[in-house]
Amino acid sequence: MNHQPKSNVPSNSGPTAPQQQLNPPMSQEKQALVAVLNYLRKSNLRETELALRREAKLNGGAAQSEGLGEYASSGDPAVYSRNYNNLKGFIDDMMDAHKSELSLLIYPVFVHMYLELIYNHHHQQARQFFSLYSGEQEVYRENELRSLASITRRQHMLEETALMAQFRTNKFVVRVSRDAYNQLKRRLADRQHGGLLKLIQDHVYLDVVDGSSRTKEAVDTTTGGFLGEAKRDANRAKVYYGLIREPDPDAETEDAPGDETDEGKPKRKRPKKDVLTRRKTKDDPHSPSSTRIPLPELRDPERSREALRDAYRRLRLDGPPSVCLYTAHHGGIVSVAVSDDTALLATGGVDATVRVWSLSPEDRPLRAMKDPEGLAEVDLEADDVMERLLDESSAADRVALVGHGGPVYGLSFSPDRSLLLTSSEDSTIRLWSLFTQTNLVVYRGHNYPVWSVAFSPFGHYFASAGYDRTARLWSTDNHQCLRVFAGAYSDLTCVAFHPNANYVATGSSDRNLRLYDCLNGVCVRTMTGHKGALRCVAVSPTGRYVASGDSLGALHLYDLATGALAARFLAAHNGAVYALRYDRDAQLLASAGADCSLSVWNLSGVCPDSPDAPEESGHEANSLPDESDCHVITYYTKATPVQLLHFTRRNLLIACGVYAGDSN
Amino acid sequence: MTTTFIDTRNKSDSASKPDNKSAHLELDSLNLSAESVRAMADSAGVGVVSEEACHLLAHDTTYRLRMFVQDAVKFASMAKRKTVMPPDLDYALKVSNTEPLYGLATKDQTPFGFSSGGGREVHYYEPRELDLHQLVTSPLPKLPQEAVFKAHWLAIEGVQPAVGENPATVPRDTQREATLNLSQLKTGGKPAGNKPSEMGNKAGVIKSATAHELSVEQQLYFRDITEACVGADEPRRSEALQSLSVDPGLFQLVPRLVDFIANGVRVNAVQHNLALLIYLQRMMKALLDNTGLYVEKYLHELIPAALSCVVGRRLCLRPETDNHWALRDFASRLVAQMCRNFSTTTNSLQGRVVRQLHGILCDSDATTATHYGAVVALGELGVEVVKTFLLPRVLLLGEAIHAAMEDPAADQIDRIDADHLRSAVIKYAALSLKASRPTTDDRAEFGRSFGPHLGPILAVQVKQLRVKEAQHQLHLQQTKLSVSVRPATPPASLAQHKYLIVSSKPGTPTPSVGGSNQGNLLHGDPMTSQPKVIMLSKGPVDGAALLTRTSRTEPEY
Repeated sequence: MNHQPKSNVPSNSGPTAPQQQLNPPMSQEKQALVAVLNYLRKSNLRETELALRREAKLNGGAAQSEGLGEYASSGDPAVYSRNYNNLKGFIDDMMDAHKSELSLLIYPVFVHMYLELIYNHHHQQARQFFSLYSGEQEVYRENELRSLASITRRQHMLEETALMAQFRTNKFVVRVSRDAYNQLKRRLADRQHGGLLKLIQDHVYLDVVDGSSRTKEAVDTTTGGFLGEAKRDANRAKVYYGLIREPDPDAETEDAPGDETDEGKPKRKRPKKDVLTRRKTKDDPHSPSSTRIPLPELRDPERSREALRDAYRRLRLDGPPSVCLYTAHHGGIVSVAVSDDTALLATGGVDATVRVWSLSPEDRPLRAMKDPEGLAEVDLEADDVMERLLDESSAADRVALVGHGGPVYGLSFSPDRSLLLTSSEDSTIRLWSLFTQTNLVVYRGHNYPVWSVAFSPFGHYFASAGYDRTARLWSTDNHQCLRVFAGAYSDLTCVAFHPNANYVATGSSDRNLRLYDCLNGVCVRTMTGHKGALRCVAVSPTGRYVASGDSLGALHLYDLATGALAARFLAAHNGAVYALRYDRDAQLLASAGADCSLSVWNLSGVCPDSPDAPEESGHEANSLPDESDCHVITYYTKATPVQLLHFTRRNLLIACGVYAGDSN
Repeated sequence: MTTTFIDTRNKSDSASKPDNKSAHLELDSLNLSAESVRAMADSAGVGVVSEEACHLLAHDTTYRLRMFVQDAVKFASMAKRKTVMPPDLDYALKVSNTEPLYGLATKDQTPFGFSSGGGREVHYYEPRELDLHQLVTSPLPKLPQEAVFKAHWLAIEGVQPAVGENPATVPRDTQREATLNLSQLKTGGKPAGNKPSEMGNKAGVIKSATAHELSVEQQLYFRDITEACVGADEPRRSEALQSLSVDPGLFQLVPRLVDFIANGVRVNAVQHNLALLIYLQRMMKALLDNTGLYVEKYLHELIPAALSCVVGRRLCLRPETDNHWALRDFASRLVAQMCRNFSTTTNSLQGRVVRQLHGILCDSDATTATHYGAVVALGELGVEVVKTFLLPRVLLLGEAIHAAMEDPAADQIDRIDADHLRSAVIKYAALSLKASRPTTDDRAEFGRSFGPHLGPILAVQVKQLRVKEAQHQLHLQQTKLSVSVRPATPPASLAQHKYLIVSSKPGTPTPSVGGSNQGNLLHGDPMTSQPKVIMLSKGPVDGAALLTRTSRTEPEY
């Protein structure tokens, strides 16, 4: 399940040829073996470990078994500082064109020099080295540097922390032009910097690109990840970002001039169906076939009809939308979710309680199912059998669902709002039925807190992401997960389904946005450029673009066709971005954050959402749209950081947050 | 965790010298020193710990603490908080497979004590011994409050409605400009200050004389608010006053509300309608309390309206029973509040008000009640004002009071008035004297300064105040507010005073305005009392119409 992107995509032999000269290919088998040995050691399975070691003829020393052998060095500790300064020196000497790319080398070299000093017990020198040069690193590296500074002894390096895990098992990726690469090679060979050359070989993956060097701005749009940029190969795979072909909805509700013919497809309708702007998606080569992933049928024609009715009355937004803000007081709420039809609202609290509220308690109160005796009397042939199953006497405006053992961080309603998923600090995901108002399934699989959970737009499938650096794909009818999406270097903080349900987008604290294919679990897109941990992610309703917000208040928009940055709004918020939402027409993007503000962005000029838009190889940095051109309006709340944004089917914006001015 | 670490530690590491603690990493903010480890070992009863072990432990603990704190920060940020709370630390311990510390939940931000001395700073945790019996018998803590959701319109088609739930859209500065240029105000609640360029352009243009129009909603609101404020329904009045004191979107109505108050006071002072005057003063207070409003430009209306209620010759119909003193006290506090908030060197508001009051105080023709009002208003303006303007008059006032009390021709009302005046003079003079005089209070000296009538009483009063202050100092830890000494400016409130409006119509049940009557202000026999006239128009008064209106106590304007 855990595929390395590189192994899946056969690399182009041309541009990577020099790469192989500088970086001898690290045998993946050996790495895997070392990992297994490490695991055995940790689990105290000595004999198995010894047996495996014998069989694999791996009898290296302790350092080898720790996977840190490359750090062992008998060099003079003073040489590091000199080498570091030399590297800075000749990057400074280079032509300006190459400077911006090669200066990316400084950070990984700094980190690994520090680790090497620590590893070889040059504590004093390591400390000096750190205090001398940590100030020179980019500002956004502060958190990593803080973690790095806490590593002061060799045994700290053996710990399974996020930081060490990424530095030990992965190479820092720097994309350089061929010219710059040649220059660097010459410099490193010219002078006697054995240590430096070896360090770069061991820990840095130089992705050599034909063509001219990128400008400083262009470099800035892709850097920032824990381990640099995404490898070029990472985004090669084809992504079917189009929507799944729509079968003709029921003829009686279909008034819009649609020339689609009914092909006898399974009667599947998506509530998110865009009626007003329906396009012929039949010939769209970017759409996955509807059988690529087995999808369930939506069996509730009444609800779909309702969705269609709402869609006809949808307000076409070209100006600022109207916003209705739900402010929660008290109760220690950490997460909020709203059902697709805006009928229900769910909150997860620090007290592990999930509460479901009806947003129109007079018209549609929450009702539980009747008891067995009552159910036996229900006429199953009646048209409104679903209504009759419900017990009128249980009508309430809110229901508390108790079961979790820790704060509830993730919530997601199923598209037909009969089910609710919750994920919690207690490392479980729970599925609740809103008919019986009880817990149906407990999904265990994540062994650490689960930060986020999301239902597929068709129901049945759902994705979760958590502290354990994995995202998982589940189906509601199976207690074990179907796919494990691995590859992140730090927590996965948010997860969102692609509207065609074939892909899952995840945002991570390692500042990368990844798109995984549900079919085979492969990471098909890695999008870098954020400078802070990702906090929220949203895929556009048309499927072509994905938007993400980070903890520093920046918004990025990526084109899924290429994985390239389409737009970025660096100063969108003054603090973490908590919520992102596209409107139903994919014209506007609403964002809200910790700074108690709510901004609306017009994307019609930025992201041409017709499927015919050309797939450029990549947006140039200077062609990125201006932030102020897209900004529509910013509203401020009094003291409520908005946690959730939701466009109703008629394009009214619902915002939801917890009042922060409360004394407790 | 840490002890096992010593055992597994490679001996070869000991070759490295103990690090110099003073050399901090640049990003170093959390570092445990070897001395701390030794102190902890001591407190845990581990006697001998080698220097080397201390250093190793310090290093390892520092590392672990940092990792742990970083995890805790992660939990706080995922809970969408900026501060790390004790539970976050528990969760962080849990993910590192360590038993959380139970029972350390605290309401305080940090349960740690801090002390410094001798160049050392120590944070410590002091476990308090709890009396088990006390713990068991103590009342259960309150249940946490249930979550409540409130919905409001944050924006309607791009415009944020000016409701209390939204942040103030029109800052005071903009309102100041707007008051100077009313024609530019937009009536739709749209922020007027968003277009500085427009403002700038119009600066040189002669202002048009167009009337400042209110939207229909605003007109309705104005009517409802004014009706509720002077109407008979006390809960409704409370709501109206609450709305006036918090609603940030009122600024366009301010001129009208001020006009309403000023005219109302003018008319009702003539009519001696105590209840209405009180309602209007409460309205004024609500407006002054509203932090979102800019009322400075309307002081020329508000100050006279308040002062009229302070020093009015006669503010009620039956001076023998009506508690017009409460109105004077309340209005005095309003005057003091306005002086405090708005007095500047340019408008010299306080100076002018004080001069006015002093003039009244010196006016021997003024009634005792008027003198009372002036004394209270001066008193509310602070001890310095009292010292300069009131104390020199105490002697004369004392003689006047004495004369009124002893005068055989004086009736009951005069006595009551004189009594009130005396207590007011004593109260404020004593407060001022306590603050300005040295601690030794000579009775004879007081008698010389303030006359034979008030001097001795003042001396006693000042002495009592000092004693109470001393007691208060003793209990300062328990409460900040003095229990006995009245604060110089108590929060103005008329809510405690309950009033009755008595209908003139025989047979009609008495409509209680103030809820339960506390006997503060009971009119005499309802049958004999004169009708309450509530009239705010300046036109000729139609008696019959007034009579019908009175029973409903609705304003006409």
